[in-house]
Amino acid sequence: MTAPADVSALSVVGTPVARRELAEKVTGRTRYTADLHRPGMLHGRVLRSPHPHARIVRVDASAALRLPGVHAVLTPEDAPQQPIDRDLRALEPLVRFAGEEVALVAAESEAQAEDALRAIEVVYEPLPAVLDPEAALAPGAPEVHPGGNLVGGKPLVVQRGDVAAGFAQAARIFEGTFRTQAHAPVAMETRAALAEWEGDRLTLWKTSRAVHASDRPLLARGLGIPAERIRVICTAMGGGFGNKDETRLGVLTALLARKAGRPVRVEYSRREEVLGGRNRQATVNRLRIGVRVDGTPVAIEQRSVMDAGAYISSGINVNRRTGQGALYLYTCPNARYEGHAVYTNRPAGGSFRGLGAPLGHFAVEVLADEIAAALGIDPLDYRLRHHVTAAGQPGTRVTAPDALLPDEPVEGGVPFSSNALRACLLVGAERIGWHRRRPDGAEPGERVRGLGVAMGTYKGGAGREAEAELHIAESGRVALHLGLTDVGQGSATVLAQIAAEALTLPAERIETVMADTARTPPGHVTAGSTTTFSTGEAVRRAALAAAEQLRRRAAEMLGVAAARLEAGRLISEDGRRSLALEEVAAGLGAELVTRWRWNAGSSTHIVNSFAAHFAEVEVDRRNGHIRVLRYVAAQDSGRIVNPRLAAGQVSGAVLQFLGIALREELFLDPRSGVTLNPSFLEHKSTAIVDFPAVEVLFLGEPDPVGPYGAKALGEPPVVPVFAAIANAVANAAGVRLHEVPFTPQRVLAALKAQGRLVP
Amino acid sequence: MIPQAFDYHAPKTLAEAVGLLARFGDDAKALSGGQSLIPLMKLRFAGPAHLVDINGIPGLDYLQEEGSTLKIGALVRQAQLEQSPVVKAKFPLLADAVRMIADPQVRNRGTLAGNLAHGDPANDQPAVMLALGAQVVIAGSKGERTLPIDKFFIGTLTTALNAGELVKEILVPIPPANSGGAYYKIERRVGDFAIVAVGSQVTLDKSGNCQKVGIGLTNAGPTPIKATKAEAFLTGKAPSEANLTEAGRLAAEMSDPASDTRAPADYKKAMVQELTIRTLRTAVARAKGGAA
Repeated sequence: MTAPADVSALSVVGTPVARRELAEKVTGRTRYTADLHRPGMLHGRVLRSPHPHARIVRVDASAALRLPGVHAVLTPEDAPQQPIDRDLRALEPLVRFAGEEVALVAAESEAQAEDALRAIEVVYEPLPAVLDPEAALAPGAPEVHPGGNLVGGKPLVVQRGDVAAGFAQAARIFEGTFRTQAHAPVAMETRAALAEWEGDRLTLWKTSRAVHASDRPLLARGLGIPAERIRVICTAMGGGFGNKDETRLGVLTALLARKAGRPVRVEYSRREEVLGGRNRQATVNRLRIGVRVDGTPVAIEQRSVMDAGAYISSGINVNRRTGQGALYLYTCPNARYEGHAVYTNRPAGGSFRGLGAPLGHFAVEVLADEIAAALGIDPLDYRLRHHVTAAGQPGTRVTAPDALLPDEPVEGGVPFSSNALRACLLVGAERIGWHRRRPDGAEPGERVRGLGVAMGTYKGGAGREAEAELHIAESGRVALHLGLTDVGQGSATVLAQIAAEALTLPAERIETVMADTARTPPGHVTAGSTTTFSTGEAVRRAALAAAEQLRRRAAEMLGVAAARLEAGRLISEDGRRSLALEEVAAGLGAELVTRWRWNAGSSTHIVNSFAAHFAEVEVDRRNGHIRVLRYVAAQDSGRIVNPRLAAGQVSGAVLQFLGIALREELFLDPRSGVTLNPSFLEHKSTAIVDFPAVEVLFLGEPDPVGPYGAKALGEPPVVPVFAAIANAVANAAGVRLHEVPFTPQRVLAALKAQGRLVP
Repeated sequence: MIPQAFDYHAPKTLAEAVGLLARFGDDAKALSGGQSLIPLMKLRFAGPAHLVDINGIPGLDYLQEEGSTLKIGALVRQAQLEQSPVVKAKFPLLADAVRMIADPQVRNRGTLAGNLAHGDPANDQPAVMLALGAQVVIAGSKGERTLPIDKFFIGTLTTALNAGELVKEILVPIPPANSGGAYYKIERRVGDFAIVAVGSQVTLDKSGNCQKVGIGLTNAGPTPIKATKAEAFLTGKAPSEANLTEAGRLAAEMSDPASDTRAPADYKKAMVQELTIRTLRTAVARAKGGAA
């Protein structure tokens, strides 16, 4: 554990440094993968299956190959059949969802490639398909993959204490079934890849959140060549949201380029991004909470069924994180989560902002409101009484005393490194004006208003191996080399700030080199909101090590016993003589390179971020419309390294999830298995005009574990959003919503069913 | 997202444009704002072999009052309507609706004529023009003809335009004093196509009864719908809440929406009723000089 830094002593960390490359982005100069060209480059396009489940009997590309400009067609016969992921091959003579990759064309222009796709003849033998988890788990259901449709053959079970004993002590048991929808993550940039071979060496430019940790090893496996011959680069990402993690596109582009003998670029259309990308999985969550007479939880049990789609991808993590709210939000000795991930013939699911945490929290935080209402307790008071405190959960530690604690804690008896949930609740309530809240459904009339609250917790960044490399050239140039990607969240800016702080330089002096396997040290996946916490600490340590060497060299050069580093100058102890950092760098005789690698975490404390959100809504009881009038997001993410970027992250997170809460959904035709709305026209994402400005409050104290006191930030603010809105609607109109999205027709139906229409 | 190959023509006169359209018949499409046609071509739902771009024809972007008529040329963009003082002052229904069409970029390109000629019941302008009782002037190689708007929409994406014809202008009667109108739209989010929308136009007589009523429904059936039963019911009657509610019921009765990814049919039908009542309420208030 590192000692908490003194706030007043910090000069770069905690300041609103402008985002790196902002001017380049807004003026269109940033080069994304789809903007890149190589000499002789061809354009690749993908042919996709119209069937949700079918054997490919034959692919005849002869007519396509005769068309002008067409250089190559890649079919399942050309593709190596070893898996590139646990259940995924590059191309198989079998398709598992409508929209799956069947063949690719490389041509001189995109139009020629598009025309050629239509000239490929494919003979399919359609197979019975399963389109929802219930059908997939029924006895005798068609198998999506050999071995059954329950991923891993058994559900994931995570527990603490004894829920059966807990429920036996309960005075009352509350329960409910809660549903969340499939939807598309819709980053602004669609997936793209550009492959170029030089002999047996491959360079692949790709939209990626993990050039080291996933692309390169999976490409090596998929192509059957050593990883050393593969270089992967992500020049810039137009949004990631945890989603751009599949490697099939990279493998296919590389295979197509090898077959064509020319560099090939493939860029997905929006439709392909929805079908061939990775979507948010629908879940059904059955939740039971047993409480004492006064409402104290004594047992919490959640059973989740997740529609994983045709490939599990990072859905394993989504499934696991769906239990986080039930296991950890309220102080409760007995908790059990059982998560079933189920294969179906739907487009593949994957990871997306917050993983399963917002899905499970929706159930927990709506049921908590129902408990409070049934017991006549104000929902804010209920949370203030029972939220998990800094002491953590009751019980005994399971992890060995000196071992690093797991990143997704379930055990009792371990305290949090910091927990400002109470402050988030109190200050957030003050800001929204909670005292104005009236009883549920008390307001008469057509348009009624109400207030809602919901909490959230999310792991604070621990649990990843991280590495950073700092280069100080003899010229004085300082560069931070990082293997991970700035997916758009601003990590390049924040990590440069941390290096700058340690080196007492302005942030602008630190160059950042990222996401290139040839120029950066191995980095983990940009995921789980861990970057600032884990890589940030590696950056801080690498920079401090560099500072130490500069001080030593400066002392030699000045002929003094010791020197200190201050505002970019190396100063003798007596303060009389000093050298600029550049002068000392020039005196090093070679480039100074320092590295730090660590396994982020703590053996004594659980590191979690927390949030309490408050919404004020207006519900039109005649048409079911929900209008969000105000939204307050109170966050505990420890010390905020960059307040401007952090506020942007929180408002972006909330706005994104308000859109998901109210409308976004992917629809599948139940007969054909075809996705009905793979476009912005019919899958409606949030626009800036849809919602009010989010009021963001940062209430965390500097965390004793994180670098300069920072904890996770990118995902935690998405966690409470669904429940905050549902609870505000309940307060306004007196109806409980158990299914996301809260579309007008669903709200109107609930008003009708629960007898709350305007008289 | 790449259209199939086509030949591009840029005529300089209306006669030349109509000549090209007549020559290529069903293989040709007229291009004005391109906000409906180009997306269809990019999705390869439409694949005309010839595109006749009328944007280079001078003199088709007029928006002028002539007697008791507002004449709107084929190349008048939605943005022009949005900014027009005449529209603001005399056509609150049109002013309401035009602001809700997509976004500013689309409105800068898209035209009223194109919005009608596309024949999409989800477009906003057909219902507005039905409520206002507009007429469509159609140019063809054999000359011009004028058609009342309620004879213009034949089926989904099908209008009374024959091969070789295009919309030359729209004639909208200027409502007399004591008139008001309103457009309400239920959409998934700002700038979307309507789940359903309703446009109502009312003229009150001296005693405050409804002298003239026009009601158009957006996305409530296979074609844009003129709610004639509701119009006939309300004409000559007082705009009481009871009468407006009955008009709403009749409008919903005339609607024939389909269930789709936007909403189920029963919700849409219920909303036709609700929006008819709300637009009539606002139209009447505006006819009385209220600002609502």
